[in-house]
Amino acid sequence: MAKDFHIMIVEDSPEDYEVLSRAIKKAEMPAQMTHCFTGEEAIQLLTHLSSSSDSYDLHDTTLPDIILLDLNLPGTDGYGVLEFVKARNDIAYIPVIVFSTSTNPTDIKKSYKMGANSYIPKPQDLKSYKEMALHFKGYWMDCVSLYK
Amino acid sequence: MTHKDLKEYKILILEDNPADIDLYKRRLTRQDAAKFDLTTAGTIEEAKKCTESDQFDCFVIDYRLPDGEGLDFVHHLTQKFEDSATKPAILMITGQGNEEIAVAAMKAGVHDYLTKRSISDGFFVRPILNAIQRAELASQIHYYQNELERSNQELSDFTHTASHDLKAPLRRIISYCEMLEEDAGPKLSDDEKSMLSRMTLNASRMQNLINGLLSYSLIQSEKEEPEVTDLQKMVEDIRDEFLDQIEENDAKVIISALPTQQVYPMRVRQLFTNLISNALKYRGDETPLIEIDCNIDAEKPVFRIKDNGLGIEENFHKDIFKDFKRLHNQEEIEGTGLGLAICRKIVEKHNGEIWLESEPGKGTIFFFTLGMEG
Repeated sequence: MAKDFHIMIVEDSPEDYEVLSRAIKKAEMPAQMTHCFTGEEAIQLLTHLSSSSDSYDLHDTTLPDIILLDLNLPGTDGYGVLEFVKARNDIAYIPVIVFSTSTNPTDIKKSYKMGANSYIPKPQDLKSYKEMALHFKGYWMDCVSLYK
Repeated sequence: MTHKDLKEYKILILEDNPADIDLYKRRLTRQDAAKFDLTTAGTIEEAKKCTESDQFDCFVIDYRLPDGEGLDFVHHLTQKFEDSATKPAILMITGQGNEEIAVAAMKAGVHDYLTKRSISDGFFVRPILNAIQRAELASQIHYYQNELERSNQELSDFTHTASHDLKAPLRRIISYCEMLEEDAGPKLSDDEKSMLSRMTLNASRMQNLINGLLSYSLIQSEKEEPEVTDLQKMVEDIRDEFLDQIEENDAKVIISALPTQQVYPMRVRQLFTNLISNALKYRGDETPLIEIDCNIDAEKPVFRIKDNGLGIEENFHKDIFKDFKRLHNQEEIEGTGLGLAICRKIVEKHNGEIWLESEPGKGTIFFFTLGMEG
């Protein structure tokens, strides 16, 4: 049985993924995490998950409840993934949270314009990572309603 | 100089009167200043066709033609060459005493205008060569302007990439140091803990340096528009941002009579922030008292930020505005050495000046102007 909350994390840096997943665990978020290293991998997995029927699922994996998306990815970048998700009728409802080093207003505006549901700048140290994870949990798990 | 060495220019003459064409041809061939390869067109339509198949250095256009006004063709040319790297010279030939047409022609982008009378008096070759030279210079300016814009754009792209690519690995180093501290902390000896925290500390310093460098390089390239800004309100806001530090130091910050004027708001905010931050950071033994004011009524208003802090020895007064110049060890007072360099750059961007009066132990007064005109 999959955990209640399924986060897809699209992040090319293994280090950033480790720090992020550590912070999520420390925040005691009962979440299943799926890690995609590239935009292509994320698009492939989403395509697969959205086309496989509900009753039969080999991987015991469902569509994510939420997508955490790095912008600066090799090949298809975060914008490419964002565009893909928001253009597909069957998955466009999934909140996409951009998670990027960039604090450039141009990136922030572009992300929201393309349908991002939040924009979180990557925290500068571990302490801020943990605080971010707690806020994240409070908002996306306890405060908002997600479509299941 | 032999005749063969003369530069050759291709000229299109747009004129419907055969007698005038004859005159122009004679004037342009019987001289030894340059060689001219002449093409003539009697109508605007014909001239347009010529420009499609040929490149001309100069156009000589009569103001009245069978199928329209000479000006129509001038407009056609300026449009045609709007984005072109090299622009041709254009000369208009007007009737005697027809200043209105001449003015309209100059406004439309013509390099010079001549009357038929002056041409028959022999005044023709020099104006054409001058116009060609002017057009060449204008093309060069246009070229350098594009180059400048391109290199500015490149610089700002570079800054953006640098911010991303330099900051990310550093942020990871810091996170990993902290994770190691968290996981291995209890097992480490005091010496080992201290080594680890040195690593974290220095990585954080590097982070501050990069951020400082970024804001320093952004001052010139950033496309911020100047705005009329209430500086009194701005500086009061900045004071509120420092509230924790002010209370911690039991400091007093008095702001009075700052004007409302045209500035680059984000930059000036940074200027005051850096100066107030310094005044708090380099405090002396006394309770910090910081006074910020401006003699608004003076012809050239001077802003003043006065503190009663450590003060600065006179032989350092010039150096402190240099990049990376620091007077204190990192262990004493943290800093990047870029704060005042950024201040100087911001003031220069406003065509102003920054200077100081200070004595060790007696505090410091920073003065600056924000000229802005020009």
